[in-house]
Amino acid sequence: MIRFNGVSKVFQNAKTPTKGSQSALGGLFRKKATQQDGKKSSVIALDHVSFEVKKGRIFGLLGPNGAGKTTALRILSTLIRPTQGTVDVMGLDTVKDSQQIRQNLGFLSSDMNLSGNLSARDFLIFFGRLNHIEESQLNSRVGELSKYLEMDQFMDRRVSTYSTGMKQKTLIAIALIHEPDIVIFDEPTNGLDIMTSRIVLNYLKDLKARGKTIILSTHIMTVAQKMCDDMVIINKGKIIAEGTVKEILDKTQKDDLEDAFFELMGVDAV
Amino acid sequence: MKDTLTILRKEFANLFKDKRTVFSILFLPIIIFIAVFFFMNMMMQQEQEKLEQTIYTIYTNNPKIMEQITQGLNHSVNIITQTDNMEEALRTSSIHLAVIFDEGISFEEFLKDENKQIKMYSYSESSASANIRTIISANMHQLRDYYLRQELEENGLSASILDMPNLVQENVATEKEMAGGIFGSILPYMLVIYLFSSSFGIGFDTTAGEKERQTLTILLSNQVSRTSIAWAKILYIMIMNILTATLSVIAFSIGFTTILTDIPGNAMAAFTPSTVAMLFFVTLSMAVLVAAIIVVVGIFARSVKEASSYAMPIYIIVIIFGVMSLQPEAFKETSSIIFIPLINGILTLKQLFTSPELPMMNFGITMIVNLAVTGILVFLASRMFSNEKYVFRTES
Repeated sequence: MIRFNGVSKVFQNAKTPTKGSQSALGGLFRKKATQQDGKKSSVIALDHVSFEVKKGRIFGLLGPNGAGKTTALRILSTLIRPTQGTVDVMGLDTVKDSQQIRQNLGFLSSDMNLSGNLSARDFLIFFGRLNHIEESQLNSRVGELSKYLEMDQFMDRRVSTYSTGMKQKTLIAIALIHEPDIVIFDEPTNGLDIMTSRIVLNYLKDLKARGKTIILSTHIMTVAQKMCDDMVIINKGKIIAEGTVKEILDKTQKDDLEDAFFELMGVDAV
Repeated sequence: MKDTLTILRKEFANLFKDKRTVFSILFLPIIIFIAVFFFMNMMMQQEQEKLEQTIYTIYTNNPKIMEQITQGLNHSVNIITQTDNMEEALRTSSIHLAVIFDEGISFEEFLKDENKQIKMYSYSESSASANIRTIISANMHQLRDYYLRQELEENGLSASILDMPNLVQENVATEKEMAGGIFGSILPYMLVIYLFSSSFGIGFDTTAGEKERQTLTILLSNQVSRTSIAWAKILYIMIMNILTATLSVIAFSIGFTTILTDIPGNAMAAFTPSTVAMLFFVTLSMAVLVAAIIVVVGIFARSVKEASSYAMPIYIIVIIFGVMSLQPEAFKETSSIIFIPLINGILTLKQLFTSPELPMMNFGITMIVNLAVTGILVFLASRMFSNEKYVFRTES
């Protein structure tokens, strides 16, 4: 379904993030530890990464901040190109067939935002039209998502008045409006309260049940343990573990994923 | 094309849902123009009334001659012969004019003797002082003219000799040209200013602003082509440019004509159907080009602030050419300018209103150059929308 083949990503002349700042390229580790903060340099975000995502499964992409998760997801969603290697999505290449791939993708990234005077309904209708959904089906699709994600109360309010949770729900609905075969969610429960998180995670399970392939990036290990069928753990742009939850637990001889994660990172658990 | 229109509709829906933005972009400039010209007109009238009601104080060393000169004036005049510091008195408006005659000069000598000197002191920063200087100066010439006519007639000569040569003035400019001279000077200048200035706000908001607010990624992660996005942004900016420029030019014209009441010829004679058609197409080519420039700069820049600073030099260059076009003789023999994108529009618009013939050749070149450059910029913009170096280039 999806295959990363030796993918590397180097950002040339990217400003290395200074403490307290967030790089536009995502939190990236530095190639040269001796380089001074603020100076322009090359950074390796992904280093010969290869993995496969099977159809109809929830695939977890785990790692600390700056590990390269967002970069991998951006390459997969065709927003950026790999420096080396290829990514195949349903037999298509993310560089050569980017527009075709995007037809089948629903992408939610942690660095997306909504602003302006439109409402969630306006946005959903807009993105539905951009995805060429028939007008007759569009309203029912909007209604369905609104109901499932419990958005009815704020559907017609301006997004500029929304809370973080409301915006996140709207972004999720936008990513799913065209019922894509592949759903890529980067930290989908960010900023959500426990009740809303549950709704979103249940919806992901529902999507899986409908045969969709889901790629989930998260740093919340309990979510990953509960949701993911397969996973890779990335650190400093390299895969340090991959397999099912059971395989990773067996490998690290731990009882839960959080302890296994810390073990792999070489950090003592609390 | 369908996707372009969908994005365009969304941009307008977003804009028109905010009444404050609509008011500030579309209606505020009109209100400001009309208000500014209304107040200018009001102030000019008040100033005129004030000048008419002012009692002008004139200091002189020869009150007898001064009384003769000021006889029959429509203004009240107070002649004084004492002042402590003449210059200071002029500056403080204690006196409005000082007229110093040569010692012991009589009124006859003043009229006859060309060797006698009269020194007139005024203060140009005071409108009352400048006004009475003009009045007194004109009156002196009138008195001298009257005296000369009398002298000539007393000596058996015809005073009509002073009216020679028999000057009959004829202006060969057509009504269209006379009215066009005004529009040819002002319109290009006004248009370039408004095409650019209105783009800065909405144009950079929809490009660099979307990058800053992280709202562009959602659009880019969709199946829509980058060319459709680029065209939608350009068309959005272009339509808003034309709308605001048209409204502002109309508002300016209304305001302008309230203070400029003596436009020679029939103002509407400048607008023949072919002139209007050319005006529309040249403005359109300029508007789409400005929009394309703004989009490219907006995608390149990290932020709205940075985009504005990049666009400012282009804006200043265009304004300089706009200011140059205010001169009636500007761009008469500047054939190479026609090949400079955007600037060529100023030249063509000026010629459109000031030349007796329609500038077909320049119109054609302007359209081709501007649209070709726009095409290149659209291609560049669509490539930039696909390039991570630009779409993820932000200050945060």
